[in-house]
Amino acid sequence: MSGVLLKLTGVRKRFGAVRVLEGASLEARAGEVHAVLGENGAGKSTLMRILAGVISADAGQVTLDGRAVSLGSPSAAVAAGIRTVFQDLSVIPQLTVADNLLYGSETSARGLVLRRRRQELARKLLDGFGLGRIDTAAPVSELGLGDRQLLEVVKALRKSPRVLILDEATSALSATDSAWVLAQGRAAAAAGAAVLLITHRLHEVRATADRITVLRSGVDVLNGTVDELEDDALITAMLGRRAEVLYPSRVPPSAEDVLKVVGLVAQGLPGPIDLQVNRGEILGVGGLQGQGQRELLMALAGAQPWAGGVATLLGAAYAPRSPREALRRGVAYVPEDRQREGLFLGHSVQSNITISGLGSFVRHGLLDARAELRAAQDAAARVGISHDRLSARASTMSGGNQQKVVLAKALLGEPAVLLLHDCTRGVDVGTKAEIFELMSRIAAAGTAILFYSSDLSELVHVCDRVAVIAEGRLGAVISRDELTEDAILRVAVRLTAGSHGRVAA
Amino acid sequence: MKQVGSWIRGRLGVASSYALCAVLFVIGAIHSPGFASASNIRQMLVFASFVGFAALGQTLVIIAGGLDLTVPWLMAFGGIELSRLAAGGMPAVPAIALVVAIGAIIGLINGVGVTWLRIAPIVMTLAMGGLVQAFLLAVGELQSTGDQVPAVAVHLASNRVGPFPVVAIVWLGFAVAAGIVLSRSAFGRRLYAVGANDTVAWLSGVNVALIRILTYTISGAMTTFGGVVLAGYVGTTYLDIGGPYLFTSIAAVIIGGASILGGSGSYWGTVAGALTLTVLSSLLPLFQLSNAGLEIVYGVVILIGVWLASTGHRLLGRLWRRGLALPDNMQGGAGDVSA
Repeated sequence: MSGVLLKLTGVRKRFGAVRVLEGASLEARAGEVHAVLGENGAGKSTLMRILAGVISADAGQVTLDGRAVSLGSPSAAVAAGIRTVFQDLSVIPQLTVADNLLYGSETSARGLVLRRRRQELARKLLDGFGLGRIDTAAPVSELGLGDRQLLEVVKALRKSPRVLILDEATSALSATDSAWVLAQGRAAAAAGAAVLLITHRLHEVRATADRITVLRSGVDVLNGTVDELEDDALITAMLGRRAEVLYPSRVPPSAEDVLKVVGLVAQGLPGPIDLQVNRGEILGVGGLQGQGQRELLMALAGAQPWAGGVATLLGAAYAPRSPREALRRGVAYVPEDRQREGLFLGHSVQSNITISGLGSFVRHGLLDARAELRAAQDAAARVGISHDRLSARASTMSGGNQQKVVLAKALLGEPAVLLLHDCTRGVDVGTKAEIFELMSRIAAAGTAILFYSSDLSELVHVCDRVAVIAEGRLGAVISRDELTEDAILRVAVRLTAGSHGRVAA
Repeated sequence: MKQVGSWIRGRLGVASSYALCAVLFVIGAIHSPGFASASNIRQMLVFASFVGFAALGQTLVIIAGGLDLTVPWLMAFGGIELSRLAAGGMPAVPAIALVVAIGAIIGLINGVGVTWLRIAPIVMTLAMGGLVQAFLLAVGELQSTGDQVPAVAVHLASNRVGPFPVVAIVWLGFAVAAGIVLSRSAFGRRLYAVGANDTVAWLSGVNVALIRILTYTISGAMTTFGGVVLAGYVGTTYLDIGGPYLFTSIAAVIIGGASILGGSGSYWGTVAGALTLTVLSSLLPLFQLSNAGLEIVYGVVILIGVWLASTGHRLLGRLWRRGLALPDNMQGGAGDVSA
């Protein structure tokens, strides 16, 4: 292995009164995948944004090949050979796949962008990365979150970078897509780049990284090779204390059904889907990514029209035509993308939490500020947000805390059914454990939960049963006794492969 | 004391608009003594209230992420249609109510077009303006003589209660109501939510379409009412009477600290914007400027106002604090005094 390529020394950064980085250092060598671990708020993302030139450090030095570099802007970072794949996607939804991939390298003839030429180039590029299935002429807005993330990776790799940053690039992805991204990271390292990998999944670190640096409270607290650092040591270093149990104990659900769906069909969900969730049950929704799980949860949340099927909720017919109607009936939805679908980022945490329940605070035509505050405090306390954060803007919260705000908002109306779409995505280990504990408590109090997760091990450990969806159809419902990652994958893959077989025949 | 400080800090954008208005006023008062006379102040208040009426609905529409370009034609419609109804023998008060109701319906149609038919707000409201204008032209061709504006509208526009013009008092009433609705009602909070992110609002159970339709409806009614009062003040009506209010109704909202992209703003900010625009246009003719020069200064001052309300006040705030960076012991002393 060659020498140190990228070196950060004593990097400091504060936002207002909050010190995010307090002298963090990091060394990455050419040819290695270097994992940067830490809880949300530990300063990983800030450090990466400094490297990407998005923000500038208050103090500290960055050297590349022993020479100090100044990363005053994103273009300066790119010029230095640093390419970043962010957790927050930077593709432009209205443009086509080809336009996004070739953005900034206009393929033009006398000022005219040649569309066909761009399509060809993009096609070649994607085929080279084994992504032939993505349509280059489609607008990016039509792709799933997962495919968009893959495009980001392709964009970053297009001009062989010297430093490649994968900032939670796999958090939105299915196991297959994650594996693809990690393989691209390995390949970039093999080609001589230093790859910085940020992820909350330790198994990805084990499978991909050579060395690890752990950040806590803005300082690097541990570093070493993957082989010499045990999982326990890593988690202890991240949390600054012994790891608690990640998965909570569960109270067995009752046999009384809360929501029962028969023959549900919707756009992107050919179905028909038959489901039943009981009081106090956590029903997992699994399968490969983009198989109709989003459509299923959206349809149940009233956010997507039903093309067929009937449902009963607490014994009465249920066919919501809007999220408003679903909420009134006691069905709350935590959407997939907390920043775009879950939060008013510029509004206060309190306004975010109470928006769905404003009607219940009205006295004499106006909002009763005290009643609203009390309700917000109660909901915040349930999810573990301290009261003094209620007046903060949602955008100033870390990813994990933002997710808690969305959960608090959903819990405000005491829902009978809670629909959770990948609510642990991009959330650190500590917050994850809190969210699971919360889910367990809510279920024990009688709420029925549908929980979709892209992480199979979460489904296995948290759920009572798991409904596996493949190609918009219900593959199987796996019961507690037979619930393993293997069993979920088997159903997901067999069903997908099987139907392809039918099409071919 | 500390609470007052943080209350003001949260409203620096709005405060900067009032400050700009005050600066312009002081310049006027220094330059020409008559500028600060009671009669001139009264007149400026009346003029500002016309902008204020037209910009009330516009404030709601812009907060919800839309734009209403029907304003000038509805202003004209308010006066012309009222005069026509009165000439036909309808008593003034029901005629005003009817005209304002028609304005509300035109706004409602705007709202339906924007939400249900998903027509872009600029296109929908401009097209509606064209339709209203066509209607007024057709009516104008049928009428042989200009109709009189009913006395009620004239009194409303020119009478006083003590030293205060009636219009300004009515405007104040609307401002108080709008301020309370925006900050303390469920409708107000949902309005900001829709403007901040309509997807999140919809998924959170907010009736996005209804909120948007209501903003255009209120805008239609308030603008038409503004047109009635304006006609009463001018004493006659003509097609172009609302012309200036397309620009001023939007500029007042933006100078008042709203984002043209929606999700923020307040009616008290818009009031500051309306006052600023009015003081400015009364002030500029006092200087010996060419027409072109006058337009240029007008535009530049408005740009300054918009900048102050959006980002400028933060920059000035930082410079201010740096200028006031006192030694520790002095700061302690100041703290003791305020405590």
